[in-house]
Amino acid sequence: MGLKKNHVSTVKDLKATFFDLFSDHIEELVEMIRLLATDKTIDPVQIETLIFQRIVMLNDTASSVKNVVTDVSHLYSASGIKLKNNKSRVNVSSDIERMQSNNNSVGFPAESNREISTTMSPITNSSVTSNATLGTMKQVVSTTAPVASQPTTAPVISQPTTVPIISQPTTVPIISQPTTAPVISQPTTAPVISQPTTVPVVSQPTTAAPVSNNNEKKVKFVKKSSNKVKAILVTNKQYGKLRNSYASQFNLISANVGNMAVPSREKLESLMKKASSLYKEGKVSEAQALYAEISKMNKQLNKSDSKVLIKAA
Amino acid sequence: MEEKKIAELIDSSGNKMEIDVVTYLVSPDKLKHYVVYTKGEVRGENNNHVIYISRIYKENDCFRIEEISTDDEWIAVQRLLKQIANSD
Repeated sequence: MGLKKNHVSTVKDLKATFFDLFSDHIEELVEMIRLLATDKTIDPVQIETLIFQRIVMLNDTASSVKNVVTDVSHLYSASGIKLKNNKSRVNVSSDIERMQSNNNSVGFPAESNREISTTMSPITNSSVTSNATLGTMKQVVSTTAPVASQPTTAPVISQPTTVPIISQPTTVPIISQPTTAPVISQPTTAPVISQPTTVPVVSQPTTAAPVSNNNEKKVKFVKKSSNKVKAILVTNKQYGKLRNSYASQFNLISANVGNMAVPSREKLESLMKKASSLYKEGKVSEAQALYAEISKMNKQLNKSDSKVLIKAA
Repeated sequence: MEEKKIAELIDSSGNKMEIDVVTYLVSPDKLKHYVVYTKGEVRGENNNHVIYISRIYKENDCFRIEEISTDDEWIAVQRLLKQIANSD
């Protein structure tokens, strides 16, 4: 236990010493920079070179200090474990036997293996650098948990290494912000939403059948004769009933569009005129043949109109 | 009020006017077709509606109108009108 206390205090003393050393050097650097800015009699290039050299030296020293602290920690840890293992030889032996069974091809005797395993375990524990044998080493350490020095060494070494690692993830929000921005800007789905304005186009075909809608092209009625139109008075009730019948009557008339074609009455009339002229010219046979043909056409096309045509003839 | 079925009537002189199609009529033999329309005119104390009836033929993209010229046809058309107007 006394060893552990000495180890901790030694490391602390080392850190304090190096802290003072670094502080002094930093103060000197600041002074040199101040001189560089104020005293124009000094050669600036020379001062800058000195500052640069001092910074490099400090950097090298800092890395050396880390190694020294680590080495000191390792040294104290190794001593502590060796001491512990002497006390708990029974527990460790089982682990050594396990390692031997794990194909330690070197074939050392059990006692030498025991020493190797115990000395290596704190190293793997303190130095974060991973070895291929780290897994097996950790197993060994876990069985030798009663080693008192291990918990104290861990925080000393982990502090300087973990701090910069933790500080890096602070960039996470910076990364997340730019990613969200394009996601928001991407909702150029507005055109996609505007496309369903084609719905009216879909609805139009439904209105194609009836001619009744005011929005549609107006139905045209063309009157070619000057004959007077027939008119009649109807009461409101009758008017309403007539109007209500529009849909059904329109469907009825739509179903008979084939029969709504303009009859060839005009054509027949023109043929009648031609036949009459032929008769007047004395071409009786030709005129009679034409009359027969007209009569046939008249019967075929429209029986109801045949009376009119015959009268006209 | 029922929706108006506005149509365009072009007379023999080429004059255009808007008419309101009331209904259509089809003869029993389905060979004759008529349009019943109004110009919005009312007559008498009871505001009776004046309706006009013309025979129609399909011609290209429009309807050709021929006026009823015989009494027989006119009687037949009135019969068709009564069937609808006086129905229960």
